[in-house]
Amino acid sequence: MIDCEQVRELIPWYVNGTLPGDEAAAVAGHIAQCADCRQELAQTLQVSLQVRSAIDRTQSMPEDVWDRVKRERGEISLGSLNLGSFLLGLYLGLSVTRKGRPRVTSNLRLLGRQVSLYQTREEEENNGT
Amino acid sequence: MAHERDLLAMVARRDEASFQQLYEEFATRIFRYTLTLLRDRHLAEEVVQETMTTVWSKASTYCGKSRVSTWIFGIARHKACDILRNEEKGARTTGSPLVIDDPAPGIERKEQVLAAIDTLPPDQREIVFLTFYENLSYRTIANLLDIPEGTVKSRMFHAKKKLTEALT
Repeated sequence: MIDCEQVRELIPWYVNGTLPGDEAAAVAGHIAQCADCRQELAQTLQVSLQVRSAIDRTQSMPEDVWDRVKRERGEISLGSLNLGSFLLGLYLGLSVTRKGRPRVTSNLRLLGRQVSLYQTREEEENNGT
Repeated sequence: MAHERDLLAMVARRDEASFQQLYEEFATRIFRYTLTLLRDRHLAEEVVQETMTTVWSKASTYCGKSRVSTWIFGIARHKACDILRNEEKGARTTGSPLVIDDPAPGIERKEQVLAAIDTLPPDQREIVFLTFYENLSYRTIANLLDIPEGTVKSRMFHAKKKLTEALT
């Protein structure tokens, strides 16, 4: 049997759905019979939703960090073009690799996911084609 | 999860588009995680940059024992902890609280929630973020932070008590 103290320790992970099956079943069984732990569950659920929602609204990443990552790897961005929206858009980028070769990248943004249309391959750069 | 592993495998083969997709999926999450730890926007950006550069160079060393997200968060945490250690030596003085970037209805409540998170000690803030925002299990968090599972539960217990008092 699992007591109130053990249940209250586990409730945050019962709420986020990551408890292993046996622990989740034990917590569910206890909560069905314990009004105090049911209240604890309701409070934790409310806190978790509020935390998630608030963090979702915090500062997002500045766009230039991606360019900085590329520079760090020895690639210099010459310019890029971003058309459309987060849901549907097109990205075209032109950069120079550390070997001095041009790299063209073209991605289609579809429902928030990147689909590669074209990019200069590393082998092509190595062969100089 | 298989999707993240596929992406990382492609990154290990130097596929630029997969790296960019991995960046799109993780950059903001790493940024918010390290912002929770460091409370400094510029340092958090620096950690994202260094973390993703490490992911690019070390992708082939990922051995699949943990989830890709846990591996990447582990790299970010390591870099953030280096900064915190330097801070303890006096390299930096104070951080700034988390701030809302996107004004919308209910903004005051969200500011109140962030202020409540901000009053927590860093080790409790981190557990709250990883549990409620990243949806990690207490076992994964214990592995990531290299602390006993009991410590994860105890930090969460105290954090939740403070948050409940502040928000209800």
